[in-house]
Amino acid sequence: MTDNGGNRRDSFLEFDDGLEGADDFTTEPNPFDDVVSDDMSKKGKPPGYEGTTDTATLPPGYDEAINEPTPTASQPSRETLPPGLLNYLSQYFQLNDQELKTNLYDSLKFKLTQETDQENRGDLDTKPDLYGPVWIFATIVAANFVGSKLFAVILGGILAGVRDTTDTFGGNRLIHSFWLYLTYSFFIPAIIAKMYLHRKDNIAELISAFGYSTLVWIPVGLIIDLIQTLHSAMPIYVLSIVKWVLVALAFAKSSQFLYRKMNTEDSSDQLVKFPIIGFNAIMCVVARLLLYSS
Amino acid sequence: MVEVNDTLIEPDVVEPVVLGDRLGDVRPTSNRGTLDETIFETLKRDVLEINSRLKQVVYPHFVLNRQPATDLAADTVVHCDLWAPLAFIILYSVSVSRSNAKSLFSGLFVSLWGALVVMAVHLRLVKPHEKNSLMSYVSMSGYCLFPQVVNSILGQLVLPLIFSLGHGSHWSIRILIITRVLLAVASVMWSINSFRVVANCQSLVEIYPLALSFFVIGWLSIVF
Repeated sequence: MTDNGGNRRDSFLEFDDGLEGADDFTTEPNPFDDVVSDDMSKKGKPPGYEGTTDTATLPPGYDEAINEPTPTASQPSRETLPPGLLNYLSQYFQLNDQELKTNLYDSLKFKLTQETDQENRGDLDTKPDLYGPVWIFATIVAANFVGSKLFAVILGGILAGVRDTTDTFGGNRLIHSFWLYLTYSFFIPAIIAKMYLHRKDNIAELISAFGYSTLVWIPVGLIIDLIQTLHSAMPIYVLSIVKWVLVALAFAKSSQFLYRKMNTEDSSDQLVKFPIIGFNAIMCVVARLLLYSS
Repeated sequence: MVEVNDTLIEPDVVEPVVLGDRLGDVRPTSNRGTLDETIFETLKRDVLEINSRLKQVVYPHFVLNRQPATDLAADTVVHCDLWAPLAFIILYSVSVSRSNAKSLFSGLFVSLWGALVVMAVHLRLVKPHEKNSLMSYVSMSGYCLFPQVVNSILGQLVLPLIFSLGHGSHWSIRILIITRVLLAVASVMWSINSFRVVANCQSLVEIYPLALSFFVIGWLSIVF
């Protein structure tokens, strides 16, 4: 939009030669400049219309765009990032708290509905993120490391007042859980997606599904550690059975989530959904024998 | 033959006067010379420089003091060093691994550097449009390790000395462990709060990984 130059008079144009001519109109406003004025926002609106946006003079679609939040200092403008691995991967780490909570809740709830094709999926389903898988993986490893001594410190140290004389601090468990969950959550889905899936963004999507499916291992691991600390209160075979039951529950929950994610109309999803559950079963048995055997 | 008067020769380039920054007498690293000073002076200056950075980054943000970040973000980009992280990691590793330094020190040293890098990569991934580099985030997280160093020195060196007077009675062990846990919780909260302010983290998505990392680091001082 042009400035209201028609209404503003420069000094060298403000002359009058006393004759009739074009210069007689230079001091009059240009009638074509005031069709849409830039000063509209400065002008007062009628009473009751102060908070409204006048969309009558705007082209179609502007009324939606005008309501979008403008970038602030805490939310910088989303210009194109320069090339680089971290800048490329950062697109999978852009989610807000609400999206994260929704994804976490979605991975824990018992819902066995069939996912439809890609176009009919919800926004959250079509937007895989790697933030959840990465930090769920880190939390599982941390829970296994901390949990191996947490309840011993609470029950033995604080309640009983006995000094812990064992040399173990959970280092072996930390290393084993790190490699086990890293392989299961990242390497296996990446290989499966690369070889068998034909969807767009399939690797990130499958890693995301695998990662969120392992969320159940955080509470299960801590419960097993608590039971392990109370091992003197029950026979060995009861302890073993309880551990197997908990691992079976974790397997059922994670398999249900994976099945729901892979049960689409896509032929490649149908091809891999049962092998994926098989991998999940193998991981559960390995975790039981490697991490929760003692 | 024309005699040249040496006193009239003046330098073509005038060295710019480097002003001391607002941290006091601390000067930029590139301007300092260490050849003509004693080792004590060099160490003293480095320690004072680290202390002046701690005054900015860590000291004011104790535990639940939810003071907003002022102009720290721009300043941390300019002043990022790895001396403080190195010193803090060595101090932490030495104090925590005192029971079995031969096997624990190297693992702790590498793990703590790994934790700093993980936190830095996390911030770089969730804040790709910020101007901070990966190295500045490593430096920030290293400075925020300071409360953990205080925790490890108190919990691993000072408290056992005090509670050794109890001759290993049940109550002395209980109080020792409870004090260690409380100390660790306070130091973890302090570290998280400092890092949250200095890195301008506001959402759960940004803060949770930092909290997890500091929690695991703090746990090490309880478990060993």
